[in-house]
Amino acid sequence: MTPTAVTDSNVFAHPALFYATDQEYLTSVGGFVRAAIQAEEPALVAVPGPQLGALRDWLGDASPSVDFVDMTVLGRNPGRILTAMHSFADRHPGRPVRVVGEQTWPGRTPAETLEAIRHEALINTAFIRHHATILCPYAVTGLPDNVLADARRTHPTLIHHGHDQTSDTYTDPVLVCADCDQPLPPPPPAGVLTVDYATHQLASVRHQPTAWATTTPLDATRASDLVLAVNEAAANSLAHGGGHGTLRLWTTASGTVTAEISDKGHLLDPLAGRTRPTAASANGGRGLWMIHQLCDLVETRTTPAGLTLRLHLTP
Amino acid sequence: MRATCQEALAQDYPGIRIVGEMDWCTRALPGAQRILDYELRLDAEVFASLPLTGLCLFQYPSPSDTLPALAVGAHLQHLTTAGDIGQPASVLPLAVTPAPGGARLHGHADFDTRASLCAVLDALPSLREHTVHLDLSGTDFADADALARLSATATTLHLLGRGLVVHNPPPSQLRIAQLFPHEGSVLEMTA
Repeated sequence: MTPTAVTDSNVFAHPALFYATDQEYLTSVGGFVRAAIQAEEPALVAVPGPQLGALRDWLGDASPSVDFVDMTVLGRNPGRILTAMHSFADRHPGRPVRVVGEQTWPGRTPAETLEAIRHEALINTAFIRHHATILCPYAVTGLPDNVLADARRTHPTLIHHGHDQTSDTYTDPVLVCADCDQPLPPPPPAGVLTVDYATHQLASVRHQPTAWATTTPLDATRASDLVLAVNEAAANSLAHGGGHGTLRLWTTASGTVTAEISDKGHLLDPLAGRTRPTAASANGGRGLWMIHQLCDLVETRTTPAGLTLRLHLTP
Repeated sequence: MRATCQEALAQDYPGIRIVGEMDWCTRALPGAQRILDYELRLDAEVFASLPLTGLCLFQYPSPSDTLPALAVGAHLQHLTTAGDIGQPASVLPLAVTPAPGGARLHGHADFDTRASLCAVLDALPSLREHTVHLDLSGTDFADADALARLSATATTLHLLGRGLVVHNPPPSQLRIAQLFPHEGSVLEMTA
C-alpha cells in the first residue's frame, strides 16, 4: 500500500512511516518511490544497507532512476544528512523531490539517536519552503517507545497500517531541539587532557591533539581530521564564543576519540552547519559544517552557560 | 636605488651599500601601506641584478602592527644585537619572505593570523611576475578561510590576465580543498 500522506497539493510533507514487517516496509516505502518514478519526480532513498538492497530488488528495472545511499554511511553522523538532502534538492531546481530518510534504526546508540531526533526536527525548518516529500520509516518492532514517541513529535503526519493521520503531539522544532540539549555524560574521571585557550593560542590548541592523537588508535588521516575539527571549533570560540574556551580530549574503551570544546557562545541558528557553505562563509556555519563532515558524531549542546560540542571520531 | 647604483658603477665602484631608516613605515605616513609590496619586490627587482647591499633600520623592539611587522619579517637576514648577520631574531606566527617567482609563507594561516595573511595576499598583485608563485613549504597549517582567500586572490589575478600557483600546501589545505572542491578547483596547487 502506498502512503497517502503525499499528495500533489503538498508543497512540503514530512510523514513518519511506522512499519512492523519487511513486507509492509517494501510495500509502503517501495510504493512511495515507485510513485515518484511514475510521476517523473527525482527520488533519493537513504536507508540502512540491508533495506537498500531489498528496495532495489523490489523496484527492479525502475530503480536506476533513483539515487540510493546507505544511511549507515551518509547518516553515521546525523548532522550531515540535511546537507545531503539539500544537495539532492538543489540538483533538481524547480522540481518536487521525494526522499526516503531512515535515520533511526535499532542498534543506534542513545547519543546518535538523540542527534537523529534533532535532525528530524530540523527537517521541518529546513524544508518548509521546498516542494519536497520526506518519508521517514520507523521500525516499530525494534525501536524503543521513547524513540517512536519522538518520531510523533518531529513529524506532522504519521502513517500506520497504510493510513495517514495528523500527529497530535507534533512539536515546534525549536522546542524539540531545546529538549535535545540534555546534559552530556561527564568525561571519564581520569585520562582526560584539558587545554584552556584564548586568542593567539590556536597553534598551541592544534599542537595538543596532534601530539595526543599519536597515543590513540586514530591513523594519520583521522588524526589530521581531528586536528582540523578542533581548530575550527576553537576558532569559533575565539570569533563567536567569548574569545576563549576549553578543549578536553579522551578515548573511550572502544577506542573512539572524543574531543569536547566548550565556550561562552550560543548557537543562535539551529541550522548552522547543516547546509553546505562556501569556504568564504564566516558566520560560524562553515566551521560547524566542516566539523560535521570530519567527525562520526557531533553532539551539540546549547545552554544558558554556553555552547558545548562533543566530537567523536572512530578509528 | 638603480640610478645611484648605475652611477657608482660608472665611476668604477664595485657596488654600493645603502642604509635606510625604515621606521617611518610604523607611522601612518603616505606609502606606509605599501611597505610590504616594496619589501617583497626589492630582492627580485633590485638586489638580484645589481651589486647593492641594503641595510634597513627599524627601532627595537620590532613593530607590533601587522604590516610593519610583516615588513621586518620579510628580510631574509637580520643583524643580531651582537652585530652578526643571521636569521630573523623573532619569528612571527605568520611571516612572508621574497622567493623566486613570488613569495614564501612561514608559520600558520589560521584565525589568529588572518590579518597577516590578508596583508600578504593584498601585496601579491603588486609583484611583477605574470604568474605569482606562493610557496607554502614553511607553513604547517592553513585553514578554510586561508583557502577561500587564496582562491579569491587567484581569481583577482586571473581577472588581470595573470595567475597564482601555490606550491607545497600543508596537508590541512589539501584536506580542506577536498571539502570545498569549488574553491579548490580555482586554485592551482602543486606538491
